Amino acid sequence: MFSHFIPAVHLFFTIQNLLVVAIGLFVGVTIGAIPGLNVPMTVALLLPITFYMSPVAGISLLIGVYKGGTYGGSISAILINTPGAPAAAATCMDGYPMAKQGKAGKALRASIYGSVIGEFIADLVLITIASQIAMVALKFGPTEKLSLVIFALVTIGVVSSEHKLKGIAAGLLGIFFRTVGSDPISGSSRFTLGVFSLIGGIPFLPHLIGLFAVSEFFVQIESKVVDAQRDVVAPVSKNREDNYVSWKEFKQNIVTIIRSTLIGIGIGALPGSGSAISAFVSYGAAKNASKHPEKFGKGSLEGVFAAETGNNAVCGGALIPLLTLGIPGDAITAIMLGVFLVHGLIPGPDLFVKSGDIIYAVFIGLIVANILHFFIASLGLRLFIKLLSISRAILFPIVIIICVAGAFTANSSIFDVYVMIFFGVLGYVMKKFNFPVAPLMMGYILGSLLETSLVQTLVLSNGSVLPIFTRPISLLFVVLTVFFVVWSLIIQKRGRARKAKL
Amino acid sequence: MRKPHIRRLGEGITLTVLAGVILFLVPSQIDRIPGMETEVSPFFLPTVLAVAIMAVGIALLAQAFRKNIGEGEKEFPMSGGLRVLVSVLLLIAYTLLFPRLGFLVTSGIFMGIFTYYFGARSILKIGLSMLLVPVCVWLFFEKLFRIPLPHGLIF
Repeated sequence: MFSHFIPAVHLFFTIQNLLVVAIGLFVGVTIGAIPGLNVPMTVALLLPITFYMSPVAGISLLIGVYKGGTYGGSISAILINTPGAPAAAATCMDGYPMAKQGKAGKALRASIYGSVIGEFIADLVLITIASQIAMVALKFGPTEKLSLVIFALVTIGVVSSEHKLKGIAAGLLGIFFRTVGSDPISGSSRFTLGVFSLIGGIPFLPHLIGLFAVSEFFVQIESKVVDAQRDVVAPVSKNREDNYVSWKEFKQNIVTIIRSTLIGIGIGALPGSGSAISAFVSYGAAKNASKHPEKFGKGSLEGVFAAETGNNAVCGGALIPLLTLGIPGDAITAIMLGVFLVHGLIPGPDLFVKSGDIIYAVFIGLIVANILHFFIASLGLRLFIKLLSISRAILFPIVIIICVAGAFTANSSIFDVYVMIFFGVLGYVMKKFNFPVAPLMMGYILGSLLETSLVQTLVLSNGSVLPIFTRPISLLFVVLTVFFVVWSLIIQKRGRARKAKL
Repeated sequence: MRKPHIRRLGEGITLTVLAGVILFLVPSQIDRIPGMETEVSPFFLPTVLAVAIMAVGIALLAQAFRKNIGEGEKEFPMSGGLRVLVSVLLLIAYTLLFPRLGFLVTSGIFMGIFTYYFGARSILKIGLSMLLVPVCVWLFFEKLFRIPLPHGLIF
C-alpha cells in the first residue's frame, strides 16, 4: 500500500485534478438540487469529456458529481418538498416539516454534515478493506467469476425493482445487447443485421447516454412544462439557533450518523441497491432506535441526519465491488466503469497490482472530494437555492444538445447518435412500463465477462456446471444469490401485507 | 374466466415474442464455426438468453390472470405519447441535419424548437438560448477539450 502512496500523491495533487474535483462537486450539487435532472444522467453526459482527461482526473470528476449529486437532492427536498434526486426522497419526510417550522437552515446544515461524514467514513472503509478484498479476488478462477457475475445480475434484477420479473427481464436484455457484434471466444459476428458499424458491438457511450439521459428527456417532454411558481421555504430564519446545528445536537445524533453510515456502506456494496434504498433503510433504523420515534415525519433532526448520512455513505460502498471485483455497485459506478475501460484499465483485483498508483490516487481524490464537498456545499448554499428556479424549458433542451454532441464525439460517428436515440426510446418505454433500466445497463456491462467465464467453466469441466456448486467461493456466491432473492421476496410480501392492513 | 390484466398481458406477450424473434434470428445472424462444441459455440449464450427471456415472458403472462395484479397501475401509461413521438422525430431530423448543416447551426435551430416545444414562450429567452447554448457547447468541446464536432455547409 505504502509503496503506491507517494507516486499516488504526485499523481493526484495537480491543479487540474483539484479543479476537476471542485467542478464535479459543483455540477453534482447543482444537478442534484434541480428536480428532474439526475446524477446518472449527468455522469453519462460528462463521460465523453473524461476520455480526453487523464484517468485520475476523469474518475475524480465523476466522483465529484456522484458525491455532490447525491447530496444536492436534499436542498430541494428540504426547501420545496421535492427530492432533487431519488436518494433524497427520505429527506423530504423530516426536512420539509423542519423548513416549515423555520428550521430550513438547520436541516440544510444537518444534511451537509451527515453527507460529508457518511462519505468520509465510507471512503476510509473502502481504502482499508479494498486491497484485502482484491487480494482474495486475485485467486478467483472462471467458476468464481461466473457465480459472482450471476450474483451481481440477479441481485440488481431483484433489488432494483418492486417487480422482480421485470428486473430480471431487463438484465437478460442487457446481456443480449452485449452479444451483438463479435463473439469474445470465436470472433464470429452475431446479430449485426448486416450493419458494419455493429461488428464491434453496440457502442457503450451512446447506449448509456440513451438509457439514462435521452429517456429522461422523453419522460420530461411528455407534458408541456410550465414552470410553476415553486413554494420555496425561506432558508434563513431570524432565530440564529434555527440556522445551525449546535454541538449538543450533533453529539445527540452521532450514533444515528454512524449507524446510517454502516447501513450505507453495506447497501452500497450490494449490486443494484443504491442510495435511495439506503436512505429509507437508515431512516427506518433510526426511527426504530430513536427515543422519540413520534417526532419522525414531523421535523426530526435525527431523521434528516439518518437519511442524508445513509444515502451519501453509499458512494464509498458502491466503489468497493467496482474497484476490487470489477462489479459496479450501482448505475452510477457502472457508468464510471467506462472511464477505466477507455483508458485501458480493467477494474478488479489486477488493477491493484498493475496500476496501484492510480487506485491510490483515486483514494486520495475521494478524501479530498469530501473536504471540498464540505466547503462547496456550505459556501455555495445560497447559490444552489437560487438554481432551483431555473426553467426546465431551457434545461432539458440543453441536455439533449449535450447528449447529441456527447454521443457523436466518442467515435465521431452519426451512427452512434442513432444508437443513442434507439436506447433513449427503449429506456423511455421501459420506464413507462416499470422495467428498471439499471439491470439492463449492468447486463450489458457484465455480459462479456459472463460469457467468457461461462465458456471457460464449461470447457474446464467438460460441459458440466457442477463446479459452481462444489467450489467453496463459488458456492458462497450461489448461497448469497438465493439468500438475497428470498430476502427481497419476504421484504416485498411484508410491505404488501402492511399496505393491505392500512 | 378471470379478466386478464391487459398491461401485464401485453408485457408478457412482448417479451415472449421478442424471445421468439431472437431464436428465429439465431441461425441466420450468427456465423457458424465448424468444429466448435455446443457450449463454446457463439450460439450458446444467445439461445440460453432467448429461452430465459421467453420463460420470464410466460411468467408475466401467467401473472396477468392472477388476482390483484398491477393494482394502482394505469392500463396504458402512454399519456403524452404523441409529444414523445414528435420529439423522437425531431431528434432524428436533428441527427440527419447535424452532419450537413454543422453542429452550431443545427443545434441553434433545434434548441429553439425544443425550448418552444417544452413550453417557453418568451422570444428573448428562446432567442438567447438558440444563440448561447450551441456556442457554449461548441466552445466547451472544440476549444476547451479539442473534441471535433461536425462543421457543415454554413459553419
